[in-house]
Amino acid sequence: MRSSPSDLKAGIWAFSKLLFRSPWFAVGLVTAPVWSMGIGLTFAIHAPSLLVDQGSLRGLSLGAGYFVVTSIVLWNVGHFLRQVKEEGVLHSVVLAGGRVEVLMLARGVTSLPYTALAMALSYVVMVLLLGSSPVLVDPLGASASFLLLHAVLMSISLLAGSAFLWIRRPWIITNVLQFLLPMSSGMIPVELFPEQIRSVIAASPIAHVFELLRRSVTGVPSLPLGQTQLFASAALSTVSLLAASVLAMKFSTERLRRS
Amino acid sequence: MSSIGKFLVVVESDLKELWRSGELLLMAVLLAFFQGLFFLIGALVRREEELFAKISGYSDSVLYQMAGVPVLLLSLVMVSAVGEYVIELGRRGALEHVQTLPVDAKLVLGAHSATITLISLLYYLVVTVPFVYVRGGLQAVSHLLPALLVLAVGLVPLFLFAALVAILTLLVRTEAFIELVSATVYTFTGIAYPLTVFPQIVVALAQLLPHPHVAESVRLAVFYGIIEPARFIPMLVVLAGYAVFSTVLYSRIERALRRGGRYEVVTE
Repeated sequence: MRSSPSDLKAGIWAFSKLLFRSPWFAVGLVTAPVWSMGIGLTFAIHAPSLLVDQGSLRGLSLGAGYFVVTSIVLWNVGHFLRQVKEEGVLHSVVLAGGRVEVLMLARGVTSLPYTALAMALSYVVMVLLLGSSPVLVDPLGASASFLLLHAVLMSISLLAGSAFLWIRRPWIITNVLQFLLPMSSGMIPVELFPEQIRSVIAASPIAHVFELLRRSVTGVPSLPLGQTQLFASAALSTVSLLAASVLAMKFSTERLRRS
Repeated sequence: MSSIGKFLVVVESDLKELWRSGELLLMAVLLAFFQGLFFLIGALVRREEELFAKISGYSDSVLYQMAGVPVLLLSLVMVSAVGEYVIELGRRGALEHVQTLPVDAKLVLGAHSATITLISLLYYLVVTVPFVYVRGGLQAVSHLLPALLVLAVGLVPLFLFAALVAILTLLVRTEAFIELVSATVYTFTGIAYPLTVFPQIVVALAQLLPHPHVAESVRLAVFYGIIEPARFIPMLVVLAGYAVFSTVLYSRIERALRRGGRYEVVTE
């Protein structure tokens, strides 16, 4: 029997080849900044002064990129398990004693370059097209916080993906999640919301992960939290969600094996 | 069977299929969710109505979105549904069979278009009334009647646009093309926000799409209760252009089908 690291390596290799060959990858990178701009402007238009203030515009563009990345991970990772089940591949994997959670982790890791490029393109193109200039205050911090954000989104997608195996129309949930998740965790500039809503967003652990990224890219804090507190909360959320998603995968696979 | 009889049979079959699959209700729920979400965000955030009026010409940014966003969503649903339907036909090799059937393709297309128009009008009404009432009161709700009349005309070019995208998807043979079109339509048609935020070249190019003309006519009706027939002219010009383009492309696909049989599109 193969070990988990070699299964992971094999999965990453296979999914990378699939991803880079797929027309969705190239099209996804073109549409990422287009969707970002559309979604960002949809909310910013209520307060058009956001579009002329450089700091707000950068925060808004990054938030719109967050929406696009969430959508990519949910569709690319969350729906994959369902897809291989419908194609009949999943049963073969399960019956052959394959570890589905490792397969799915490989899928999630493979989508990292895709989401990183999509986020960078969304941010840069939107900021430039709306007449400002992109900044990157702390490249190392930005890379680390993006890794955390990707891991959180991957975990949520794996959790959703486990449920999608048993749900009739998972696309409805994905459509709802891809909006609700980023919107409730800092995608829309928090200064636009009244105090009560700001407090709710500030309490969301997922918002802390995105806030870390926003701070390291733009240098401007949006939530009233210290850097250490923010990092601890973000790291704890990531680890807990990742553990929960692996457990959910194992549970779903076991149920599938029995059925 | 008379042409009207055949037309009605197709409409009836479309409605039955939509009802049995449950998609009819699910789509209404999803459209209501998006409309509700946009309303909620618009109602909660700090608004700068004077500044918005300067760039859009309209006094209420929330009502602006409530009147236009359903048109945008309906168009996106049409693009995706018609595209996937045609891809599925190609995958099963059914497109070739359709070519050999003794049916009038234009009549069938017209009947599908009538069903979609009917359902879209119903959707627009259902997802718009509560929010328009909250923002504009009973007067704005009464304006929904002229808005529906305008939309009934506007849905024809939107459907033809969706059909054109489906044909182009068959030609480029990748489903990802639909995603490219959807993103472009969402962002560059000035429905959720005015196009004036973009450079002039983008504004000029957007006029080639039917969406800005349809949405602007619907918005004028919702805000002021007026129908401007002059606005239909650019819409009809765009419609005629699409009809010619679609026919040319369809002939090309028809030839390819007769020669090559199955017409598969890459979906992965």
